[in-house]
Formats: sequence, structure tokens, C-alpha cells
Amino acid sequence: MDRKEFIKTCSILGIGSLFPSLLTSCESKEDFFPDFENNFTGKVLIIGAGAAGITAGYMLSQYGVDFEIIEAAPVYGGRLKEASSFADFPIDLGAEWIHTDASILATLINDPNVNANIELINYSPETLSIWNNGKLRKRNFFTNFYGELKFKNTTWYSFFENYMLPSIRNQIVLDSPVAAIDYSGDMVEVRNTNGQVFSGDRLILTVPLSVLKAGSIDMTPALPAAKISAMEDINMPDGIKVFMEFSERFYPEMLYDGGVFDLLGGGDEGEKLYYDAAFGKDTNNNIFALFAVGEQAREYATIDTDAELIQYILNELDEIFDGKASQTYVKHVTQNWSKEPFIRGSYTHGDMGDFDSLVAPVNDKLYFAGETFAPSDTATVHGAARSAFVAVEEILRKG
Amino acid sequence: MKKQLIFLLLLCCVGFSQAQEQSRRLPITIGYFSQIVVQPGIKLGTELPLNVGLNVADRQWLLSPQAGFFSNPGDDRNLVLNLEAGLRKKHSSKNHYNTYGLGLGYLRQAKVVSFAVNLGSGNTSDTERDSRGFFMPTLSHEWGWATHKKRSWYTKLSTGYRLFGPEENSLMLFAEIGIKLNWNTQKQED
Repeated sequence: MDRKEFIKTCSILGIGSLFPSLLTSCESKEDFFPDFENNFTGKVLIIGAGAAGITAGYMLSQYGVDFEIIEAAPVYGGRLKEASSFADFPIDLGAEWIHTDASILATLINDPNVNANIELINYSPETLSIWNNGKLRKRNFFTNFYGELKFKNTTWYSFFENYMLPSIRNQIVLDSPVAAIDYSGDMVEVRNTNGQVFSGDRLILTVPLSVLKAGSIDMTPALPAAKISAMEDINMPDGIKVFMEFSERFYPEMLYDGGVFDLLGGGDEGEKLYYDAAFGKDTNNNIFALFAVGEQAREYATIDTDAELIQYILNELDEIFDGKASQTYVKHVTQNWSKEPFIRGSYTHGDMGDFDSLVAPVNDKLYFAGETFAPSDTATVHGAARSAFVAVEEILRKG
Repeated sequence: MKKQLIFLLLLCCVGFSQAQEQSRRLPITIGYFSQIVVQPGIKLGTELPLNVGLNVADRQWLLSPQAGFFSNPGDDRNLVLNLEAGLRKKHSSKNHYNTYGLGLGYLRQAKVVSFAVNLGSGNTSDTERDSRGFFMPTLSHEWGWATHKKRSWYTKLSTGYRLFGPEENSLMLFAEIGIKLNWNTQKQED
């Protein structure tokens, strides 16, 4: 199984799976994005200010190309999101782990003149329990094969905000949900729900797959049937994260809901995991988090109110930990990605199907980027960024 | 942890004192040693025949001090000191043997906790490691094949249980493949 397949299978865990320790540690250092000749002189529109959209804009700014980013939400970041005041360390409400070599951070910034360091945690928990058939069992052995990286004092969101946003912030239009894209003429025209029209020579579409599949954006002409079919074959299931503070630590560093075989194989339909979100951080806060995606996320994502949701989770933890959750509960913060109107799910999961049709540009005007369209490592931040690089390179090379 | 190390060293001393024919040159084992094959390392060891009065033609009690190193690149480096007592059963052909061992070991681990990455170059620095020790009893099975009077090949699977460390107890599985060099040919000719 190559890394892409591996990530596809195992990213459902949210943090990779049982062998990323080996894969991460053996991963060669990430190269900088290679230079290429720029033959393009027009303007590029980018829809979506998530990891892919920001990276695309950042690269275009490095090449001195005119661009504009149109973001539906009132904030940029997409599935990069931070809770800065919930605990005494910033919390990633969205993408959290670094699923590749640490040097990817320099690759993304793509500027050898930057002289700054970021501290990373070697995220390799050592206490793992599984909750299966009503019994809590220690399975610490399996942690020998798990390990990834996390930010120690910052987040994915802050990384983008501090190092990539400053040079492109003024080119981002927020609160601008796109209603229609017309790429039938020489120029691409984008109209938002307020009737405002943007035009450019090329368009990079970075909205989540779920938004594309929902048909929220009226396309003229319609996307090719092969591309629509390829998108329909890919799943972007429900996803939710809930961070809870407790006055005592009664939980292991990882708590997996399921049997060992589920843990080893990664569920096809989804996965649920509780984890110590304060692992390796400079904090005394006890923060335990729920990560659920797919079928396992649905039971949480569809609960109507936040109060009902936290009670549901506390009841579940009380059953596992003999009532300690309710006794020591302090507060929580919920990030239900399924209910985010411009996200509508977690991330790409499962078989990628006809990948060539999926990523192919349309009429040399419409380009696609985002974690779904990643040339490798779908469902990751760096995969999304790489897909943006591919789109930008193709636009600038072709001219 | 110091007490455990001292205990282990004492056991080694007892083992050596029990060894037969002190003047004989000891066999050396050297092998690829890893946790579940994928965390690579190396192990060196030797074998001391034990004079416990139970040895017969096809059965032999052994004491085997071993030192191993394995690494999970980017995560941890591990030193293992182990003293195994084992029973070797030779097959009728005497070319093959099985050894069943019980051991007492000490695992010293240097685990990467955090590090810094430079955003201009991607280079890492300021690696902070956490050094900790574990007491580790082991259970092993070794299968060997003597291809020459002075040389045999072996594979070994062993399981250890990390105890008394700063973290919770945990099972470990090790695989080993290597060569055993017998300097004393007389033993083979018995």
C-alpha cells in the first residue's frame, strides 16, 4: 500500500493510523516547490480561502501574478480553524496533525530567506485503550507504531495566518458565497449571492467536494459528465470535533471506539476516537477531545443542540470511565463540520475512483485544487497545498 | 531503575560463574534486531552453557547475555540489555535446534519529545529527548540451523513487557535474524 492509499484508508482515524510513525519518520525531506517559467499575464480568480486557496494565492503573489480570492464565509481558513481562548494553548478545531515530514512547513512558505523556527511535537502517544463491547481494555502495545507531528504552541490556522496571509490578505474578499460561474467566454465570470461579479482569465476552484456535489454553484457550461461522475464516486462524510476540559485527567492519551481489528484496518465507513488534545503541549489543562468522521460522526453531528450533544458525550464517557466525566467536566467547544454551510462534511474519504477526470482542468480555464484533488496525500493540509501548486504551475506554464 | 540495573548485572555475574569450561572461547551471536521488523537495530550476544546437571545429549541449558539497539527513526532510540536463561533442544539431525528462553532485561529509551523546524530551510534543530528506563522481562523462541561446524543461522521472536517506567506498562515484540559463530568446534562434534 503506498502512502496515498494508506492515508486514504487510515486518515479516517483523523490522526493517520497505526503506521504513520514509520511512514512519517521515513519520509524524505520535503523539497521546496520547484521553480518554473511564468508565461501567464492575466488575472486568476480563486474560489475558497482554505489551505488550497491561500496557498494558490500565496504562490501567485510570489510570481507577481494578479489574483483575487473569493471566500464564502466571513473568515478565511476553511477547514483550518482555531480556538485561541478555550485553553491556555491554541486548539485546532479543524486540521490538526502534520501528516508528513516537518520540512513541509518550509516547503509551503517556499522562501529560503525566512528566518524563523516553529516548535513541533513528536506526537506519539503511549497509552491507548479500546472501548469495545462495553469493556475498556488497555492496548498500549499498538502505540509503538503510531506517531505523527503536531504544532506545540501554534496551529495550522495560525501558521497560514502568520506566514502566508500577510502578503495576500488584501486580495481576499470575505462573505462572498459564489452563486454562479460562467466560463463560456474568453473570461471567467463569477457572481456571488449578492450579485457582485468578479472576472478573471483563469479560475481555481478550491471549494470542498461536498459543496461541488451539492450543486450550490451554477456552472455555465456544465462540468463534463466524467468529472461529475468522478466527484459522485468520492465520499466526504460527516465530521465533528468536540474538545472538553476536565478538572482531572482520568483518560488515556488515546481511546479508540472499536475492536483491535477496526483499529488495525481503519473503518471503511468511519471512525471514532477520543484523544488527549493537550499531549505534548505546555499546559496543565486537561483537554480530552472527540474526533469522529463518517458513520460514527453522524450520531453526534445530527444532534440538534450543543447542550444535548455534550450531555450525550458525557453520558458515553461516564459509561466508559465510571462517571468521572460528569464529575470533572468543566466546559467544551464543538466544531461540527457537517453543519458548516460552506464545508458540509469532514474530508475526502474512501476510493478516489477516476482521479484523472476528477482533477482535469476544464477548457484550460477552470482548475481544481483542495485536499480532494491532491496529487498525493488526500485528506491532508499539505495535500491540499500541493494541489494548489499543481494548478498554479499549470496555469503559469501554459500562459 | 538503578536497582534493576544492579540486579541485572548481578544476574550476569551469577551466570558467568555458572558457565562451564570458562577457558573456552564463547560463541558470538550478531543479528538484525528490531521491534516488529520495521524498527531496525542490531543485537550482539553470547551463550554460556549452564552446569545445572540437567543437560543431556539433545538438551542443554544456556545463559545468554545480550545487548541490542533499535531505533524508530525520528521517534525513539532504544538500548536493550537482556539476560536470558534458555533450554535448547536439538533435533535428531542436530543441524536444527529450538531454544526457549526467559529473560530479564532493561530497556533504555531516548524518545523525541519536540523539536524546531526552520521555516526557511526546513532543517530541524533543538531536539528535546526524554530519556527513561524500563524493566523488561522477556519470553523468547529461537530457531537455529547449523550450516557449518563454526557457524549457524538463527531467527528469534521474543516478547517483552515494559514495566516500572514513567509510562504505563506495555507489551513489545521483537524479531531477530542473525548468525552465531562458534569458535569451539568440539561442541559441534559432541
